Amino acid sequence: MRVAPQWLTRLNVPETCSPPTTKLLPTTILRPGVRWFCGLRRSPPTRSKMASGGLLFSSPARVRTARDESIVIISSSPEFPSIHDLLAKPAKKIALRSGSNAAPIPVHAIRTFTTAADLFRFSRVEGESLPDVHNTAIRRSPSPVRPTAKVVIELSPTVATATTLSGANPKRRQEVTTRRKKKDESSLETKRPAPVLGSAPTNAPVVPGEPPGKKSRPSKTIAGGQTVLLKGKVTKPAAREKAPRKRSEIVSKHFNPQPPPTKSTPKSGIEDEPLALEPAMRRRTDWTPPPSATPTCIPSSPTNQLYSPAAPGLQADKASQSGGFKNLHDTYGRKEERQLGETAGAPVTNDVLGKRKLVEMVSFTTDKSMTMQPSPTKPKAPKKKPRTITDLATAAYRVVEESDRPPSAEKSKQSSLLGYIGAGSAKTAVANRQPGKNTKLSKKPAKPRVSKKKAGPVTQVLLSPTSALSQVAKQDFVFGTASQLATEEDPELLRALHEAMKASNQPDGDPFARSPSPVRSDVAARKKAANKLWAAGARGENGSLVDIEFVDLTDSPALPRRRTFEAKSPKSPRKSPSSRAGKTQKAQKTQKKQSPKPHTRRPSSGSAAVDLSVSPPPMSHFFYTQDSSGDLWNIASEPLPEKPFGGIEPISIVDLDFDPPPSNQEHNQLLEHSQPKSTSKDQPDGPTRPKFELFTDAKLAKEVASYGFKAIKKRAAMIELLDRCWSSKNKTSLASELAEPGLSPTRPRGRPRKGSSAAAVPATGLPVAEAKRRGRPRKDVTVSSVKASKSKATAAAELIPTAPPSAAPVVSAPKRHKVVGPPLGLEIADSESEKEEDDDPFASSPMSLPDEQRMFSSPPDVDISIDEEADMSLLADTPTGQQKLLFRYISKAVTTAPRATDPENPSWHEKMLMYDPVILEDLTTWLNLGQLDRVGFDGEVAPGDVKRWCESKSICCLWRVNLHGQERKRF
Amino acid sequence: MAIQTKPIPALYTVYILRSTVRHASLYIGSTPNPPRRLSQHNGTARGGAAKTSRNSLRPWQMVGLISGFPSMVAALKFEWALTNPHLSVHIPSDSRLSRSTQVKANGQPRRPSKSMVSILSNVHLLLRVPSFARWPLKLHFFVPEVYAAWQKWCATAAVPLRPSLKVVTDFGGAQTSEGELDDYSPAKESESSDGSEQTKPWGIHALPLDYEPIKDYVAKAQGIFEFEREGDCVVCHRAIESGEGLHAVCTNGGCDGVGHLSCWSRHFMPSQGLDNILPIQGWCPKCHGEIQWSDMMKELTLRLRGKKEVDKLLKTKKRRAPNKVKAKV
Repeated sequence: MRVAPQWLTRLNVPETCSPPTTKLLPTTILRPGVRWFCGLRRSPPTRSKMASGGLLFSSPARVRTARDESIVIISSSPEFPSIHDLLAKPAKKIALRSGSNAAPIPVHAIRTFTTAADLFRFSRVEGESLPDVHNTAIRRSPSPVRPTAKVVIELSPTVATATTLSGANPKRRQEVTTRRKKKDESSLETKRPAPVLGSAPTNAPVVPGEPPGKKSRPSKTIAGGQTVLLKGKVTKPAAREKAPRKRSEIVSKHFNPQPPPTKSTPKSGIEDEPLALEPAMRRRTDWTPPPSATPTCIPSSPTNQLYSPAAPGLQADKASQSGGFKNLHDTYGRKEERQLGETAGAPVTNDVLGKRKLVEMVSFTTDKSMTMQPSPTKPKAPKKKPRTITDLATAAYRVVEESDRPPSAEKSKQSSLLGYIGAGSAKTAVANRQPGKNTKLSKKPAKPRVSKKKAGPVTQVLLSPTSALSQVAKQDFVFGTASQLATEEDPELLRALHEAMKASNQPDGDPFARSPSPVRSDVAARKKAANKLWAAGARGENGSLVDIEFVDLTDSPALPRRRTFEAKSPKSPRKSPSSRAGKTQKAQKTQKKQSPKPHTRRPSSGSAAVDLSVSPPPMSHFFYTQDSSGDLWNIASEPLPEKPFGGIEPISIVDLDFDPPPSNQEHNQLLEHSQPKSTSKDQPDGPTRPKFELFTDAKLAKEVASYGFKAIKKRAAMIELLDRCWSSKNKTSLASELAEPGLSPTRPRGRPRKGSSAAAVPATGLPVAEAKRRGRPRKDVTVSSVKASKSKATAAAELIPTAPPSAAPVVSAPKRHKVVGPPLGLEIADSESEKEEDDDPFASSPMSLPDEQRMFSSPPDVDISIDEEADMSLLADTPTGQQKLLFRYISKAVTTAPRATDPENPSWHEKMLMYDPVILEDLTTWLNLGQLDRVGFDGEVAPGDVKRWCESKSICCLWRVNLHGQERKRF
Repeated sequence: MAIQTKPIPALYTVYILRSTVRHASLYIGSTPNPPRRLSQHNGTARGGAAKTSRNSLRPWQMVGLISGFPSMVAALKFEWALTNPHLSVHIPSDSRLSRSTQVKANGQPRRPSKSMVSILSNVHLLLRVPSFARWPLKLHFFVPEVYAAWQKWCATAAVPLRPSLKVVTDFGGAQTSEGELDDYSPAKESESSDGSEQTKPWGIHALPLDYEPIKDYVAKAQGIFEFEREGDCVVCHRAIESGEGLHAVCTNGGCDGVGHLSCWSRHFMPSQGLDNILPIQGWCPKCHGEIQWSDMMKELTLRLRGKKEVDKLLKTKKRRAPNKVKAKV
């Protein structure tokens, strides 16, 4: 909405002429309170679009050029960029007021800067000049300005001043708002001709006398004393009469010492006269809160200050009151803030502020009392629980963590790693001691630590890079698996653990690896530690094994370490034959019935010796069959106490798969190792092995579980298992001596031990374990599964080597056979070698280098090898001789198995007959559990062999675990 | 160990599918219900295969199938081998017919494209490989030209199929079936010479999808065991303890000879343990009738594990059965 002041219309100013600033669109809404003044311009302003009528609007802040002397727009929004500037240029083109269209400059317009003298002069000639000015102005304007109409008057400083001096005028504010403009003009005042001045006053009064149609800004107050320049308002003819008076009033204001009733000029007038200025306009509410009640001196803008020196007279009023420049700040400062601040609660203020918060109103300058008010902030909130991700993440590392330690340290011993190991009571006692010790210790330091931490936050010191690095390096790192670390392990224990593991992994560090004994085998083998494997299987001229140590697992408690073996053979039958016999019987029971007496060969095998030295407990993890040969015991180096085997069933298959995963195996060993061993504990172990037979089922189950085995249902099986565990704990292990201890625990040993006593070992554990390795690997370990025996058993039969080492001599044998294995690993070679085992002293299948390959071979039937030659149809290939032999054994084992009595659990044979798909893992397990022994086959079969057998028999077979490791559930 | 909980399926087949629109488009699949599967392939039912979803190749027809698989697993093995003859390990390398010559982008060998001849030849081969050789399979043909191709191939094959492996045809018309029919699968092929193809179901639709063909046999066995009339083992002549073990019944109609399962196998294959485990057929010592091992096993497993199927088949509720029978069955 465009408000066209009446004076505008009267002047026939084209409608398009925009009010105050020339850029204002016709449709622009004039801001309320903004009082626009028009004035004629001698030359078009830079920014204005002039109506042809000569209205000139410009923002007061614009620097006045010499040409802008005529009329200055007085705007009440001084520092604001003209709204017209902000807006887009209006569509309609207002006639340019340039060039020929330029607003006429009154002839008598002052073209120079106003000087004080001019002001003074003009003030004298107020009356006279006015009409002249007016007339001249009107005359000048070429525009169709009616002579009567007060067109925009060329603003001249004098005029402006005159207007401002019009004295107390109700419309004073209007004038004041244009003070800035007038100030601008004031500089030009000196140049203005007097008549202009006169004209101005003539106009000026008109301005205030405008009808209320004109917008006024009552709230706007300008710091008093400002020159109200050039109300370039078009005055109405009606108001004209007042003009002179007004002007005179205005003029008088400048030069009269009348103080303005309400306003005060911040300027110090040249003449220190009290200026009768109207009260300054109130500050606009929307950007500055006006004073609550006082209408006085609200500094309008810096421009006011600009004007002040130029038109001192205008501000003489205020200046006179406040002493000129000294009070500039006071006058132009943000007094109203202070006032407002003081009256913060005043409703007016609130209204004025509107949406603004009260806080912003606080004055920064003066009233300290205000600022010092205590902000109504909440008391420091108690530290909340961390909610941010960072907090959560760092919560663990915060200082207060210390306080968390004691509770953790007090955890039960199960929480400690030691709790895992403590199988026996002694161990648990040890474990109890340590965690208890730990808790005690940790408690105490925790407390002071906690208190210290809570005393104050740790001050972070910024270290230099080098020092930071050194500090980092100084940290005591403790490594371990997640589970180890999580159980609040004693760092020393962990370290000891790792040390021990490292030591065990070193070839030199293995206590068993060193074989100082004289070896009859090649010197070369002896020399090279790496050839221990080969050396282990070395055979003497008899064909019997050399350089092997035997371990009596059944007895030989805490025997002194004795690595040497056959050299000690002279200590032969020390034990009472009876005791030996007892053992021999049992041992022989383990043999297959057809097995020849191994011990007949024993004496010949001078090399074969049983070293009953007790290894350090860590190595006692491995179990060995009680070999059939009674010679084992005969060669015992020390008197072995009677081992009450009691009602334990003979162990047919030696290997027992103690299923703690390799890491735990080592771990357990080492932990046992690192723990203070009570020899007293060891000593009675052998001789005083707890009578498992006397244990209750529950206790047996507990013991079994403590070794990490799954629950076994049969009592006998449990007892047997525990026997083995016990024995292994306290006996030397041959394999450990021969094999790389690092390797042996895990790989060769691995899972594959089949066979415990009948059905003792939970089938599920083993099949799963085996399933993971469809390759050969199982065969290697079978050494121990010395189904010692029998047909093949040669001297080596009594050996209980485990794993790879024993494979050494055997390796050579199978090598004779065609090894058809492609890298993808169809276990042909192994199977072949296995057939050979008939002739081998070692019942074990050779597991040498190719084994590693085979270990990772995929099951043959799912092979998708591109290479067709080396292909997957090896399965279907006619089995070689060895394979055939094996197959025969398998068939025999299957068919001769007793038929099942329970229809729900048919025997394997019956299952096959019923076309049930055979799960290879299960069948392999079953075969290795003793069936093959029954039919006279030494060694174990691998699932791959079983698969080939099945396929040769047209039996539908499948793996339980597919290639992706998932188990089949649906058959 | 996983215990088989399902009896031998009444019918499980591996089929060869051919597009009627384009004879060169072939597909191999397995199903216990060929008609349903065919409708799936043809889009009539949901659940068809992606390879057969192209409308331009529909409708499909089953030109041949192999039936008699004793388990789903067995059928799947065979199907895979037939689909991937270039990869299957069941085929000895020297007798491999389909060899891949190219390699796929992922490194796997590329499958040679299928043709009827190649499929048939591989069928012929797979039926002879040790892995599948003793399975109680039967070969069906439903399209004359396919059968002709088969015969042509068989003529050139170096090694013939074992005689006990039946090849039957059912062209829906007045065709004679070759080979002998089992006693217990009279409805398998319609030998009807009436030539009414439309009215009487033929081909795959004539295949029995349930145990109907052996219903009598099953009923007989049920009667025997329910009343504990086993008697002595016909082979070893020892008493058969009811419920203590697996006992099979002679398949022949009037014979109620019961024997231990192992005895039966021993009887069928004297040299067992050295050569083979799985019998194929034999003679009943009691009635001297020929017995197909698969049939006997089918009934046995039904009785053992398929109580529901038995009930459904015989439509009898066994609630009245004494506990002992339940334990047995």
